[in-house]
Amino acid sequence: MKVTVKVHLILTKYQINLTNNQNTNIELSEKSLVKDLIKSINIPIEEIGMVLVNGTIVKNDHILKENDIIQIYPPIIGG
Amino acid sequence: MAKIIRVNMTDKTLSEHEVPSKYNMLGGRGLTSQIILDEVDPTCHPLGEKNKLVIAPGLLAGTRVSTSGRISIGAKSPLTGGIKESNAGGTAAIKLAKLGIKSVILEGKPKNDEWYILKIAKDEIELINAEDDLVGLGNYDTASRLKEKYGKKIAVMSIGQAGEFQMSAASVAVLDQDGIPCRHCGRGGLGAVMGSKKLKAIVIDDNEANEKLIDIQNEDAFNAINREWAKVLIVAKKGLTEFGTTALVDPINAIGGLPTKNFSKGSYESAEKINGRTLAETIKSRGGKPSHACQPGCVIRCSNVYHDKDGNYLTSSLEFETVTLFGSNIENDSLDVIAECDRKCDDYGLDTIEMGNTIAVAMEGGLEQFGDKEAPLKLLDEVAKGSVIGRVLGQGASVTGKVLGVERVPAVKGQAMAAYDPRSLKGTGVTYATSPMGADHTAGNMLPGAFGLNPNLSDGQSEGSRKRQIMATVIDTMGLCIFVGVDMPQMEYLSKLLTNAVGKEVSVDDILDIGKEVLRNEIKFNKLAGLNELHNRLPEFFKREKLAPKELVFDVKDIELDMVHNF
Repeated sequence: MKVTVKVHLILTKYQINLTNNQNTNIELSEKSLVKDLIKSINIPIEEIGMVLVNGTIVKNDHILKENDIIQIYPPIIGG
Repeated sequence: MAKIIRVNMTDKTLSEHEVPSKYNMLGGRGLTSQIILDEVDPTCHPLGEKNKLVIAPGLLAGTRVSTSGRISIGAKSPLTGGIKESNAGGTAAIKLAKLGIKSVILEGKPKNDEWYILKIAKDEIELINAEDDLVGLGNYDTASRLKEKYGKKIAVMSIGQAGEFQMSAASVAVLDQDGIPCRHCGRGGLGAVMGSKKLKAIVIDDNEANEKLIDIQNEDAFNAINREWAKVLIVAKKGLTEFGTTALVDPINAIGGLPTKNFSKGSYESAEKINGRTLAETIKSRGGKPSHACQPGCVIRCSNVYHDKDGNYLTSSLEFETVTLFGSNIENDSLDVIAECDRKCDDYGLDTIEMGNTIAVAMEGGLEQFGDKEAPLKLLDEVAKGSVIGRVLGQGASVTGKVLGVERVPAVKGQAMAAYDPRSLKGTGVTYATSPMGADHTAGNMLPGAFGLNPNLSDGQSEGSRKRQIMATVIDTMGLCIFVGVDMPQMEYLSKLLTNAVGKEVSVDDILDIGKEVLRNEIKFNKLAGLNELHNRLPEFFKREKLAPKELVFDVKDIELDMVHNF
């Protein structure tokens, strides 16, 4: 299945094919979890602070489906 | 030997005092709040002779601990009517520590209209008449003039026109390590308290001074722990080093919490024009600095130096709060306009958080149009001129809302909110509601991911806010920057550092007890000043108006807010 991924600029160092807020389409097997996606794009799981699927904050074991839009952020610091 | 300096502005007497032993384990916010509770009548007028302006470096000031150079200022606030502490980076705290000065207490009020400068140097503390032409200047010119006269290496704490006018949004500027007045004790109108005492500036010269505020008992162990912590910070805070705090624009926008059009929406369609990447690229293309340390020894270096289109210096330390509140919150997508607003606020001596909100409220009240790029610059100039409308705006968002008949004023205890909508970031909303400081994100920010909570849901937010408020108070008391992290691993490092500093066990619980005691002091002062639990509430519209795009309201129950300070 195809999903769309956006990665925050701080995390783009891990994946040269993904750039900040640019939609990138990725093929995943059916019923993949958020953590499977993160593994497939080579970002260390401890570097992830927040994941949103279609605008809703989800946990790492959330099951993805066709055409989901996934936003991945590092731990949020500062302010 | 550490000392406390008292400056009586009524009779212009100066005196030095030993530090009472009860203040030994206090510094920064812990010390300013303790002194205010001990010495200031909670019912006093904030701009009257009974209020005191208390300045204190943190407990770890002058040590090698990274970010330990923040300076705290406290007083009864003209904005909130309660106790206030506001801190900033820069060079003032480090120099005061080197002079062995644990606190400067400014009391009384001159009976005449003359303005003064307080000069603090080794073996020399002096109250000097300010030259006539210094009065009325902004912080940039004030700093240039004082550096010319007293030397380039001095630290300066000064007020601009807003402080002179005793406006409730007035800040106290602190020079950064490049000698630029871009670090501000911004919140709560402390610049107005300094202005009420007719003190234009404090000059701090640490030439030949070599005192210490804290005598480290086990220096080798202390330094080893400090080195280890610094290494951890360098890796963990890389995002802040590379992109500064504006890296927050995207995630806060994504969770629907980016204040837009005076807190009427939580998402901004032009967020990409003002986000961390655009800011970093703009700064680099014009020869500015995307990463910059506000104080010597900081390994995080979250600050920046912003140049205009022609490549000339415009402003420093353009932060997430300023970018958002002068950006999306007034529907302005121009970083250059935001940077000009920041420069004007720094120069006139205004809190950017209060003023971004104030201008949004003014726009909602029909004074100007949202999206008008000239409007915020024009309104800030009115503040510096002291025109009638400028005087209204300079009193902050709450007064401006009253004058213009605007209900949607995002403030608690009279102080406007930072750039997180509490309907989306509910834990931060709990902190806004309950902090003795008024709506202050630095008092215990609950950013996404903190304690594993979903910021859009109310579950667990009160407990999370309680923990963060206690730990943030500890960090403020140590004189550190909250960007080291307001979390248990940092409390553990502080426990180890203090154990080796004082030569006896200081447990994590002992550290947390310091934070709890300081908060209790602040709550006690506020109660005596007439602020109680009923003031620990968000404005009504946050509970009623659904925030687009996520249609969220603030639904943390009052009973949970009342339990936040049960510790």
